[in-house]
Amino acid sequence: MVISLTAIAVVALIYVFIFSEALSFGSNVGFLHLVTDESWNPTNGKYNIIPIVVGTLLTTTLAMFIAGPVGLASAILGLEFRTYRRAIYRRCLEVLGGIPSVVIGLWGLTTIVPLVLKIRAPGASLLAGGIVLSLMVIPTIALVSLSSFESVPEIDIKTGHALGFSRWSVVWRIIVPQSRKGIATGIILGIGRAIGETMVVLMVCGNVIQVPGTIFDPVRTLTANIALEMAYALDDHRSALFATAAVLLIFVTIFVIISDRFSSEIQ
Amino acid sequence: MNIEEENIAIHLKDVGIRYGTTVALEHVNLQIRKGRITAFVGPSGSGKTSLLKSLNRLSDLEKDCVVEGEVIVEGFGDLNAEKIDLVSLRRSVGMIFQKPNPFPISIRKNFFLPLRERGIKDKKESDRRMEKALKRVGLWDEVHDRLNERADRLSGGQQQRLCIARALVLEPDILLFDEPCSALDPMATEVVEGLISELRGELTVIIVTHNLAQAKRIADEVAVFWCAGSCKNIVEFGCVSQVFDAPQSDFASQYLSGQRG
Amino acid sequence: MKVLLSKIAVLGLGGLPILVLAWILIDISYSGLSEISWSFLTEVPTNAGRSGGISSVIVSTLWVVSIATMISTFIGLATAIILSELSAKWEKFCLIVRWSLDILAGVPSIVFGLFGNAFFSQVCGFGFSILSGALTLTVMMLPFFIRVAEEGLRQVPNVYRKTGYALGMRPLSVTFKIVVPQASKAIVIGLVLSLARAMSETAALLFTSGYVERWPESVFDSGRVLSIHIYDLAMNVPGGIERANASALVLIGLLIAINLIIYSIADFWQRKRVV
Ligand SMILES: Nc1ncnc2c1ncn2[C@@H]1O[C@H](COP(=O)(O)OP(=O)(O)O)[C@@H](O)[C@H]1O
Ligand SMILES: [Mg+2]
Repeated sequence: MVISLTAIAVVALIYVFIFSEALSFGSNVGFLHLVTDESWNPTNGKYNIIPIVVGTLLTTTLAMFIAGPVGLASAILGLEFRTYRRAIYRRCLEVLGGIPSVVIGLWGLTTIVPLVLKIRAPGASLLAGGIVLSLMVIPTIALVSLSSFESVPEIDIKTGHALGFSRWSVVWRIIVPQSRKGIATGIILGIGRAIGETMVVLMVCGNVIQVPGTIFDPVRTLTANIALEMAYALDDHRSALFATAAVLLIFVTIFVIISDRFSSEIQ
Repeated sequence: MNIEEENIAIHLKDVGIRYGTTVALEHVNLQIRKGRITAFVGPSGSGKTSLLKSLNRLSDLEKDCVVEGEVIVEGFGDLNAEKIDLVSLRRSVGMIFQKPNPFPISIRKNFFLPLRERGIKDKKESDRRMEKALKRVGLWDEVHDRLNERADRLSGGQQQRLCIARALVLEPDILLFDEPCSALDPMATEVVEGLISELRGELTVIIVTHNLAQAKRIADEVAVFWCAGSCKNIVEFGCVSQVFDAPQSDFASQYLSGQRG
Repeated sequence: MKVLLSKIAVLGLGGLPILVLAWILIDISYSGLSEISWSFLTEVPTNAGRSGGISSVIVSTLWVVSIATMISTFIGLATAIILSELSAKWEKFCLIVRWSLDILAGVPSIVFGLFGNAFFSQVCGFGFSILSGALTLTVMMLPFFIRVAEEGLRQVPNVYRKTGYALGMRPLSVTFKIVVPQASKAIVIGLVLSLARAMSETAALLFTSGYVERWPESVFDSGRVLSIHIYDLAMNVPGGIERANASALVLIGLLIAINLIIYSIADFWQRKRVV
């Protein structure tokens, strides 16, 4: 009883700490500065986070555009395997999802960034970030979708076959549509993960604070911003970072609530 | 039917059992004799299992289950009125379930776990008691050389006998059987039935069964349960010959002759 | 024709993740393997990691991860038991706990890092230390471990609980002698998975466990963990990429080793329980 209170206590503590620091930013500087200042330059008292928020939204969107189709396709591909082969396939996706993000970031830095650089400088960019970030999300989408494919009742699949559907049509017309909710859950979980991911974007996005003109321009995300500046941030700057963390926390809490709704509807 | 006080093992006075607002049994009055075998018969859903569970308060584990009235068990008094020690109640009122349910661990450990709980920690003593119980159910010869193997690998009949032995090892005064043979084949049924008959005189036994012939064969007394409309009760109770040959109530005579239920 | 095209698309796109997985592993092994030697594993880093080895880094990693695992085993198991065994009795309470855990599971690791920095490092006064890092990781690991453990406990058929009670066993013994051993495999697997996550974590440790490369002397010392070492070599040390790859390889090796060891323990344990 007392012990499981720690779960509640910790959540409360996190909220209290993050938000109290964030609120002290509100009282000392004012939240309006987050959107009205001309730039993000905390050492000179400028706190415009809009380009950074845009950076987060763009990397996440791009990553989801890649991860959505690829994840779904991998889940469908998984249906082609049976029994132990499917288990191995699953395990491979789990391994991909289990590779530490710093390692994926390292790989992106040494492999994807130079490839992007071949197209256009500087290489470390929104595009590189989107590609590498999608790798972090694909396993989530693929595994959750595959599970929901598997929970489509056997009888519906048999009916499809009995109606003379080809195997492909059974997958495409029966299994996938019936799993819409599962796929949506996977995507929501994926978005939550992409928004919160730090190391990958920190290592491959270039970290320049700007609203990018093209996908070849570097960007900085909320998480990367915290990681980069926390080490030397003091006073108002520090509370500004907590304010951005509060923004992240709110995003994520909303996603948790939405995906909870979804998964409880599925059950 | 009036029985002298000292011969009564269980006395139910106006007992009712409900799950939330659904009533399973109402106004049950019953006296169960010490050392006899009493059979509970009746259609599914007539509350036999529910009543059985109220006797060792396993009913506490069912969600929203409420037992009303007086459930007097010898040595414990009214289970509903007094603050009783559930652990010792359940040790002296054992229960065998419909599906054999040995723990999926070794045969030996199946006995050691409950024995340890009773404070018998000495290995030799535990072994001795286990051997005695296993011999009692005729399982010793079959398993004495595989005591360290998993109990759930035995055949269904063996498993059920193991469960009976496991209950006996705690030396209970009352043993409740909930359709102990319904998951067993005829051969195994015969063995288990024989076993239960042998307990006569030594323990008070209550057995729920759907098999009327079985009730006739092994029981001394029979209670017929019936649930229809507002009647959720025991409609007939008496010794076997009386209930089977000359049932008093219509429900019972129809059920026993196979016309209803 | 259309069907054929979409089949090709599914095969091509769907196969990508596996191909990329192979690509990553081969890339890192290729460039990291040449750097790995006995001295790499046994020496302390020098020259910002460009030379020397990573022994102290490995030791710090093991310290952080094992402390975090120990604490979360204790708290997590207790919580999981309450959630699965007592949820009927304490419905409201369990609902709130579960809800908190769901939120906790979604919190980005960098936010855990901020929290750890503010709470463990500053309020509790542990500074940049192995202990701060471990406690931060504990908070992060809990929701996942609890979910897996609870699932495992719920899988244990109810009839075993009933049988235990019917045999006059006390509630605590029913839980600890029957239910928990039955779920032991799931619990251990949950533990390995969360341990692996802890070992992979970087962002939460950036401002809690510190960067010092020395061999840590106590849990109050700052200690650089592997993932941070990799990050630092890759981003802040010119010419550190090979070393970063080598360290990444060691990290992956450790993860695999942990998985193998604990799975075999779980196997052994289940077999032993029979005797
Ligand atoms: N756990 C429970 N929750 C709600 N209702 C129950 C529960 N167990 C039994 N019942 C109800 O109580 C009545 C009696 O059931 P039971 O005692 O199992 O009968 P029997 O053993 O004679 O078949 C039935 O109507 C059944 O639906
Ligand atoms: Mg029944």
